[in-house]
Amino acid sequence: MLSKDDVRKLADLALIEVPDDACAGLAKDMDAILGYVRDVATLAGGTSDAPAVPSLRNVMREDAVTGVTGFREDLVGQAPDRDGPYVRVKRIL
Amino acid sequence: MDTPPKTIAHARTLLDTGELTACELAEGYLARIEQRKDLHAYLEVFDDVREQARAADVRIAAGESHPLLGIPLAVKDNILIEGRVASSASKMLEGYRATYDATVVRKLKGEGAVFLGRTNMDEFAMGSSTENSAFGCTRNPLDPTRVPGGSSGGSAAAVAADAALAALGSDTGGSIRQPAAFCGVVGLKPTYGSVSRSGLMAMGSSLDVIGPLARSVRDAELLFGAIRGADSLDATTVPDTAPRISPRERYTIGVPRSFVEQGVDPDVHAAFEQGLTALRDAGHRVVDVSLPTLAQALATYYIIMPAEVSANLARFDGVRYGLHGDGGSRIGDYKRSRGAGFGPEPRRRILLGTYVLSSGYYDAYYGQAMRARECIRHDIQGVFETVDAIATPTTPTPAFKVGEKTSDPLAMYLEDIFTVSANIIGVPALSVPHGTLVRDGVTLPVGFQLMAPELGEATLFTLGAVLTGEGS
Repeated sequence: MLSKDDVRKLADLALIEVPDDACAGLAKDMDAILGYVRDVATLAGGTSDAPAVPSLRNVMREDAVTGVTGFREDLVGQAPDRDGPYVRVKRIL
Repeated sequence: MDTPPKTIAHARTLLDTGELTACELAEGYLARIEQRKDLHAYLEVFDDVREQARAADVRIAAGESHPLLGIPLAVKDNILIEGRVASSASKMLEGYRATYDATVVRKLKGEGAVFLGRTNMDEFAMGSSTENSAFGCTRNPLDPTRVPGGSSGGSAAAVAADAALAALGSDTGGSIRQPAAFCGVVGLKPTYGSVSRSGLMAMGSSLDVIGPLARSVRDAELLFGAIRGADSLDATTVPDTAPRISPRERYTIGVPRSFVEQGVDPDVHAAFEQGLTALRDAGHRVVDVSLPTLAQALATYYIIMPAEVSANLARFDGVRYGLHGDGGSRIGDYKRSRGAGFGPEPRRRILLGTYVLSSGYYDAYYGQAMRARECIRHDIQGVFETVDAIATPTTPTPAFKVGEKTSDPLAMYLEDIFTVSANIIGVPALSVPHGTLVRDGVTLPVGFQLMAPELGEATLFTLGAVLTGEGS
């Protein structure tokens, strides 16, 4: 059983504020969903030699600047807070 | 324009013979959009539609002809058009303006298509009804008390209501096919990587693909042809040299009998059986196949998808773009911004994803789901050695009532039971309307889904055309 406290901890990990009155409902919904998806173990567990990763193909390209440039103003202009050509953030240290 | 053209091909003929100008065509659709405003299919109708249509008319007058020149299309709100708002129907991105064109948009602009507006959707493409839009739900044009499906519900409703000739949607677990089924239009989820994801807001990066919603199989094929292709901006695109499956005259179609007989509405099942009969009558062979792993496909999907969602949506931090909330400190700002910006469904999926990826549960959930994904791939690929396509209903039920499933997220997730497998293994799938049923005195469409091996879109178009009556 997922508790309200578990939801609070997850919300902390996910850096998302969840109002207190939403925690109980979320715990209930998530419990039902996790109970349902736990079913995958019956499939994967039955074949222990099943590969965990698909066959992948590497994509290589030249180590060169390929991107378009010149839209700094467009991008910085989207920031909620800026200082000239910089995005302003709160103190980190 | 008294009655709108039935298909893109029909409109093309009218435009090329000069019977209709792109301006008249656009004007007709703008009037139609206004008439069906009640559906809330569009979040915004662009203010330069007439200008775009005039530019198309100039190109037509100069003798240019492309399949989509002057054709009015709608675009889902999670696909970027430079300079336009693209909000993914979320408060998080209300007012956010795209700084570049998605690759699909760049291609359609080159063809001279006319963009009518951006369509409503479930927030960040998470949902099966468009009820999760932060800006109000879209209604089903065939019965406004019912949902149009989702997450590309605005696109499906616009096409079904003649408020766009065709539209773009995105499909992570059924988000093109399920609304196509609910609204009675054609929806294609292309092979993973056959259409560039550059400029599509990421939800589940190993599952997402952009595709068309249209009024005919031929129109879907046309639009797919215009947007597909390798792209240096999306490293997961399939090289253009990859061999595609060529169309044939006769196909063998597999039906995972035990899977489609469970929990499916009897009327939906009856319509599905009629579809199989139509395929047999057209000379194709229908055989039963066994796909035991399909029973776990939905569970697998609802682990992999939230895991990818939680990673992809970490970029929304209230610092670089989007909604900003002041939480007193740097971490506080992140939490406040994300708490205020995301609606209940994205929040739920971010938390689920965080749970299945957390160190104590990673092996039990995400690790197992990745193994299950390979089991499902192996199972389906094995069946594709003996059949050319796999048929199921698109959805277990017809369009449900607005509000019917909003309080039970798991019941909503069960809508995706037949559609997620194609995303899990990356193969193409098509939903076409075939047959109808009656609910509360209203005739509703039923979707028939066909799934083919990787790059087997041609198979889907041939068989889909049989079911819509476009064949031969």
